[in-house]
Amino acid sequence: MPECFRSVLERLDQDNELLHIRKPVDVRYISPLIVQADKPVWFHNPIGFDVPVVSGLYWKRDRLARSLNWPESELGVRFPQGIQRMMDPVSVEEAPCQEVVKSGDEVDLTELPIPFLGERDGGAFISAGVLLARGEEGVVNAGVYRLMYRSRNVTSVDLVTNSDLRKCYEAAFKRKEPLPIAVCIGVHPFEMLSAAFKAPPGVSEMSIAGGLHGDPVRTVPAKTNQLPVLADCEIVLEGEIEPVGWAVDEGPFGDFAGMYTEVRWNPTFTVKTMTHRANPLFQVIQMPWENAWLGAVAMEAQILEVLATAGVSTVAVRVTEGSACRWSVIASIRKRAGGGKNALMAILSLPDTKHAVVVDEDVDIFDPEQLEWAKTFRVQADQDVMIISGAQGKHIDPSLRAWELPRGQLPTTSKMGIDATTPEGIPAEHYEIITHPFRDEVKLESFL
Amino acid sequence: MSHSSEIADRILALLKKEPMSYYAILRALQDVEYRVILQAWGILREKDLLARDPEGNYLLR
Repeated sequence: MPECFRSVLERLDQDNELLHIRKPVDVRYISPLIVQADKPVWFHNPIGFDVPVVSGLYWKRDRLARSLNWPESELGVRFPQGIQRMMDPVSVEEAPCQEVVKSGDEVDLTELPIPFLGERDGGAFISAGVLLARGEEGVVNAGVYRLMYRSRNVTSVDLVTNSDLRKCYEAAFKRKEPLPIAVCIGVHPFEMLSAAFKAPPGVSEMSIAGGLHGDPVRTVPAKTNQLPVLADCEIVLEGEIEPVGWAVDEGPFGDFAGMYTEVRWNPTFTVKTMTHRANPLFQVIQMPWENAWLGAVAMEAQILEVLATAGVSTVAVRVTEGSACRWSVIASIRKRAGGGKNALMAILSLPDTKHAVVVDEDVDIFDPEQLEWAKTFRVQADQDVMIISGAQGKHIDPSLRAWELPRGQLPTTSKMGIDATTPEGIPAEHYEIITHPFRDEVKLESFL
Repeated sequence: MSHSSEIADRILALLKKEPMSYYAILRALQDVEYRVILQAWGILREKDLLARDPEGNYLLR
């Protein structure tokens, strides 16, 4: 049986990597306490609630690595291994996540300590929900979507940005039908990581999670809509996204780019049934870094994959922290003639990337000075800077002025690629780097 | 009248004076348990009494 959310907590606890706060805490203060803590936090006693809160598992790269039980240096490499050995989920008849079942009038979202995360947020948000929906082709899509609390059985769901879930909803909306969904809270980091990954069409993100576990993810049919929910998660919200369109106010929300979204218009999610463990834990993903780091692993994996598909021999890739681990990409490649441009086209074809820099394998992409050197001496702006207009954009980017668009309309963006590989035809000796003589023979310390 | 209904009325009274952010509302209700605010908020949403201004502040419909 694969690890679950609480077995990860046990492991972190054994390693003294989990902070227990047993004093009563007002849920208003959970957000500022999470960001002050130097490790993930388990709030045992949120005032007024019977459900403890756990948060901060992914706040930094090293915490994410610990939660995944992977070496920090192997994050971008291990994830693709999961993709390569995907395992379909297995269905079980009884599941911990259904130890308690509440339907209809019994559903009360205020039983959950749904926190207020950012000063300008428009309300309380469920931020750690893995949302499952069946796509047109029958494959179950999983994604991480925020839900803004509205009432005891209704939230809004953010479907402004282009996503698999938005496509599912648009199809249902066109038919004037509700879209059945299930939201799993308190899932294993592999499941969260896979859900945060935009899998190719026809691929179930939970099959990738199975590949990461090395064991199939256990699912159980949801009580009301038969969606295969994650059997070992903590809490499941089953229900429907209503065919009301982009009709209700949602946000602002301090999002993964570290900035607030504006007030948006989004559909509503009506919770028909809530199931949970006998003593559930409520996970909170604190913005922006928990979300950014989760996305970084999947982004780097996605970039490696698209470069491989384009026939580019890649040495290393990284997303930059300044771009919220998503928008800007740096890659080093073993270049063939024209390979720099091919690599840029491949990277920029991904929906999230906005800027890309490609360098030769002799440049260390983690060294800002080497990158600057390559951009300075291997780039002619009129030949090596690629600008693409009118590509898919993301509302969160203020430079797109998305607030000026009509409701429901998606923004477009321009993208830029810089080919900082050695231009064709320039002999390598022109780039010979100064090396200092006798450097292996003398040491400064010997003369001090 | 339940406690959450009383708090819903307090929120209405606050918003009658001026548009407020959710944060400002939480600050104005420091004496109220957080869960009761969620419950009161649910009452106002179910009655569709809340509107928004472009800055994200809440106001009465």
